[in-house]
Amino acid sequence: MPAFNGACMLLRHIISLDACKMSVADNYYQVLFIEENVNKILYLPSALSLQKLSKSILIGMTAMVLMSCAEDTTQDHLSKQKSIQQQLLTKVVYGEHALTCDNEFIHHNILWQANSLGFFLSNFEMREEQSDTWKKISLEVNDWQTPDTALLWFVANCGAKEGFNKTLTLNLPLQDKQSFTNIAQLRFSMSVPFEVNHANPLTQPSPINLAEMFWSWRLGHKFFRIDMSTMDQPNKTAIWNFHLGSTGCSSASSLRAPVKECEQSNRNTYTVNVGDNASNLLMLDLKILLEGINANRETSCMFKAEQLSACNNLLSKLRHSSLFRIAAKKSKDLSNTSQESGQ
Amino acid sequence: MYIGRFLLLTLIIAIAFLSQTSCTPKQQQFEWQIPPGFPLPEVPANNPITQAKVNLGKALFYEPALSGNRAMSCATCHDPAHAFSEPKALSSGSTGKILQRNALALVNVAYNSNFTWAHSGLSSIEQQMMIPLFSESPIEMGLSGQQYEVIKRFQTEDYETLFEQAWGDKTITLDRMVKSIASFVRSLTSFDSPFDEYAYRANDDALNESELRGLDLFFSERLECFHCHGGFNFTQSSKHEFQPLDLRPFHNTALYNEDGVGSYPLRDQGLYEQSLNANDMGRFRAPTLRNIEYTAPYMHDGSVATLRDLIQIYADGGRETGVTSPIKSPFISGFELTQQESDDLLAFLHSLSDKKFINNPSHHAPINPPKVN
Repeated sequence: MPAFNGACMLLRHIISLDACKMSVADNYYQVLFIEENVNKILYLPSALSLQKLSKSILIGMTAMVLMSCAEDTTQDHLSKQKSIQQQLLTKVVYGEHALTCDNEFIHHNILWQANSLGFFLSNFEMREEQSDTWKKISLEVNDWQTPDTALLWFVANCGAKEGFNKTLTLNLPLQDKQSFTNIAQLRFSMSVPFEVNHANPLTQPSPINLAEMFWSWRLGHKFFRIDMSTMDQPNKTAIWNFHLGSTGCSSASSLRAPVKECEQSNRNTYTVNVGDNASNLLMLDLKILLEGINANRETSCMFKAEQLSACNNLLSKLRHSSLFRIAAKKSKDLSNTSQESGQ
Repeated sequence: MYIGRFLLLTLIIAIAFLSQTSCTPKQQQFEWQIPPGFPLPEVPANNPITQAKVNLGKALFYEPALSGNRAMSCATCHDPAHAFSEPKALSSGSTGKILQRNALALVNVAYNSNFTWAHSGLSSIEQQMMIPLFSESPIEMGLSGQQYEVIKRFQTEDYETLFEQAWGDKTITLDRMVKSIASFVRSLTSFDSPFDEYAYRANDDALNESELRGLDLFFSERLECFHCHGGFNFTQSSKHEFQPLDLRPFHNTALYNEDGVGSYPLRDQGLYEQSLNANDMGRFRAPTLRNIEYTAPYMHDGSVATLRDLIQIYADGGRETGVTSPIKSPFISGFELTQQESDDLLAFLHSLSDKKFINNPSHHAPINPPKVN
């Protein structure tokens, strides 16, 4: 729909919308746009159904709908603040060793491969030195990020050119001459916020509409997912899975959303130190998660009834404060990055 | 100031509306049969969909003269009564040779990020169509070396009129044929099952008790069906206007284990044949489960006769030696089902049937097909 795309491009240039997309269905136009990090979807009667109306009425109706939208966003404009864009690279490591570009690593002297590996991070906040105030950080909107939530996805394929994401793009509420290292600490949750976690994925923007990380309306999304396997022994394989999400969610069926937070939200918040010596590399350490675990089907956790013990063990490890860390400048962590040639 | 900005936005949107209505010839418009709330599929920029192309594409889809020896049409293997699949384990080509795979259903293909049972290099229906049209081993439609002969068959008044309506002039080219058929296939959307009524239109009475129990089983970690058959098309291979990512969804289906290390029979080794990556041995794309009731037999080689047989294979953790395959999908780990649960799961799968789609006359062969030479 070239006319739609053209109109959206024009809008983005003129009034700085973060994103805009228009489409047409049976009897309505859908206008999706994101302004000031707020998703807005307008449903307007289609031109077909309006052909009998005059063009001036059409313009008037559209203006009324959008004017009401403008009133809703007044507060956003008032609170608008300068921001500095910062990219954080993410890397999954096992202790001091980065996973290879095939997502391989050694655990308990066995070579494992993470066939699926990904996690959502959301609710980013920052605290500056000498301040107790946590400031909200918005995310740059792209295929892998909404204004609040990002999906990091690591594909087990050295030759992959697309279909993965290792980069976080943050809009830091900093002044012009400040930079990432002016931040003392960064705080975020490994989860999808409840407000969107159980919503119909069809109404969600990417990446919150990806089937790979969605359980059901009732349970919502997988916040963290790793499916790993090993063939270290001849003709034998072992697998280990961990899918984290909210549990104890009540609703009429798998396809109905709970109206209140689940009994176990399983949202963990992590605080990482930044400061003068910080690089732009955020790491998740699988060694902390897997410590003491003899990885096999029996110790896997996808929240089946019989996996309660294994899941509780993993949930306790997720609360480890060092699961995430920012690498220091000139650290060994940074040099490990070069192993990941394919991606 | 903000009022001014939104007035400007209003004006631009209005211009977009008006350009759609006043600048585009009426016959060029295509109305998707997609209910509110569902995203629109992405359409290639070089082949915008129009009703005239869909009309032409439908005529071509059902026309045996499109095959080299006039023996078959697209519809021979893609029968609308079977959700555009074929009730045979393996289809045959125009020369009678048995083809490699079971004919896939054509349901919501417009949303596919990947095509065929196992191929990661095809990004559009137009590209995929080159395989059945020109494949020489085995021959399917058999156009290779005969395309100019075939084009001549369509140089009739009937078809020239259809081409003029679709493309603006009477010139008949293979490229236009392919793009028109692709437009027809793209138009085959199905969102009117009892499941859709329950899930997306919030009608709590749309599914009965058995179907609801089956739904909960389907979406449970115990059965793990949804790991591979995820998303609104029950295949992870979906792209649309709000989802451009392709996370390469292929899975080893645990049907075979020829050598103890997971190899599939040489006649079809899945994605491995195309990628030559050992990790891709026996990996196939999970097809949509929409209208699955109509698309038996099942799996890439049509080797599973019924849905109940299929449920049993997954309950067993694979088939025969495939159970012990070291490279089978970790989600085919097996489970125990009571007879009632098996019935419930089957009832849920049947609730994915869209009878209006199957019986939609606008999808069926033209009663008076355009004449060919």
